[in-house]
Amino acid sequence: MKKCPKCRAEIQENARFCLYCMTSFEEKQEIKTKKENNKRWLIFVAAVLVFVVIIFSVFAIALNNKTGNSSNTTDYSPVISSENDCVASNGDKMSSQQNKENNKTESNKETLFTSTSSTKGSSLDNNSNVNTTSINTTDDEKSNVTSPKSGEVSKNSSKGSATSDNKTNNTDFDASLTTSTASLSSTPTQTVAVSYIYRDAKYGDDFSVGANLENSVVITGVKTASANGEYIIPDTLGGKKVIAVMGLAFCDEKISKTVKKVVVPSSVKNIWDNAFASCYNLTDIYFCGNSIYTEVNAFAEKSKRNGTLIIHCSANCSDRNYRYYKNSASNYGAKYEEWNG
Amino acid sequence: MTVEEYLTEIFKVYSLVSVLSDKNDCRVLKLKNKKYDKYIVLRQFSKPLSAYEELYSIKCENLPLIYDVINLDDGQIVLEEFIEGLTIDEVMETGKYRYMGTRRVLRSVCQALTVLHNRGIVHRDVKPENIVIGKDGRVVLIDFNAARKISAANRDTTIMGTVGYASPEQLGVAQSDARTDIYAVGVLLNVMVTGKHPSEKLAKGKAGRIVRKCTSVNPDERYKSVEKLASAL
Repeated sequence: MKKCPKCRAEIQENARFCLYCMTSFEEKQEIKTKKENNKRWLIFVAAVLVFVVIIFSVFAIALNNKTGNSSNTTDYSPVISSENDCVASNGDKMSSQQNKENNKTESNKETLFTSTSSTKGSSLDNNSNVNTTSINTTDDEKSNVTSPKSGEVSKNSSKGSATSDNKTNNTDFDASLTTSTASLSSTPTQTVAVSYIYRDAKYGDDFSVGANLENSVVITGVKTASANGEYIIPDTLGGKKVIAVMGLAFCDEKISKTVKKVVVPSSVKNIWDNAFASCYNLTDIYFCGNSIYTEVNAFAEKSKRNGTLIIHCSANCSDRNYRYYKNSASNYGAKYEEWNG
Repeated sequence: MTVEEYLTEIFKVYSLVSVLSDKNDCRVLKLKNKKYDKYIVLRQFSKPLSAYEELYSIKCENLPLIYDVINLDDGQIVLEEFIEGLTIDEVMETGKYRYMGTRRVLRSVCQALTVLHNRGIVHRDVKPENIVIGKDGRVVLIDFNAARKISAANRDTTIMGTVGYASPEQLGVAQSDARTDIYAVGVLLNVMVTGKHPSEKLAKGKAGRIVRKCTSVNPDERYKSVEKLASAL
């Protein structure tokens, strides 16, 4: 018999456990079992952390973009919020001034312009014989004639379009109006102010990889309809060059019904898929530039359109794939008319 | 010292609470320490069992603590920790288990079996009555009366275990090994989820696939180890 070291009770000689105080005398090998939930918790916590980081970075990028836009820095990351805020208009005052000018002066451009407005595209080809030299002279005239008026116009129109974000760019904005006025003089009339929705151009908007897209915008929509259905796309909006007409830009239900004639400035290099897809009344489109790429399905299908679509462009006008409209107009289910815009 | 003499000694300090089981070669008593108010399980065997001696040296969350193994002239007495709680069998009287709950319990069972298998012991009696869920949530595999050391013998000599949970080889077809317990865990999984033996009603989905693999008649087609089964769960 021996004594328990703890309770001093008498126990069996070979006992490893005291029956009285329930104490074990021998050390046992402890086997630790895996806590199954530990790993799961870690994974869960890690997933939550990653999620939070993603949310934060998205917010940070969005915030950065907002501040970036106001300070006019170029950022190509997609931010949709700013897109709809940018609305510029080329005012109706301009067109009325234009009408007055048309009555008074007799430059080649203006003849073309009046004939278009009066006959609505039916006799455009009669005037298409206008030579290029005359255009050059009118360009000079335009800048002379319109620049003094532009200041006055810009004041009125900037009041009208209070949605414009680019308050810091007043001078640029004036300049854009000047050029809009310039393009007006070379094309069909636009009797009511047309507001365009646009955004900064970003990578890929012009199909070319690595092109410098700073100070460029793309038209993504039309806000107000033109009363006579004639749309003159300005070559600058908010002081930035308009380089493309994006998909569905003219497909707003209220707008697309009204579109009959569209003048595309030389700055626009691309017309994206479905840009005019629901403009069934579109009969004439004028390309001012010599290099433009139009997606095959940019216009409404032939069967849906009311009347023939006539593509007016110069004999030298080609798209990126070096296909002349002359030869490829049928791809669009359209007719080609030579025109010196 | 004989078993009778030892029990007389014990009853000076402990009082009998209940007889948990009483079979020919094994009697299980629940005793209470008169002074400290603590419970203990006493197992009395007519023949010494090597499994308890093996378990004495280890302490594992999923296995009961063996306080002492006393070899006497006419038998063996094992003093074991009493786990306050309910057996799976008792829990299942109130309803079936969900797969998530079953998984938690069976992973603990697998851990206990891993410890046993690593020491060359096959439990051979894994069933709802032998798994206790402690009050503290501890899952403990108890009752090593049927357990035996894996030997090189060709086949099991005596039929041990519980019919339904015993694998074909346990019933004399071949030698028992770790896969015998895997078979029982498979049956247990099915019973916990469906309330019925796999032959009556097989569990659906993932549980069903695990059960089918566990209860293959050919031991080679079962999971190769309890760890593999645990990760499959």
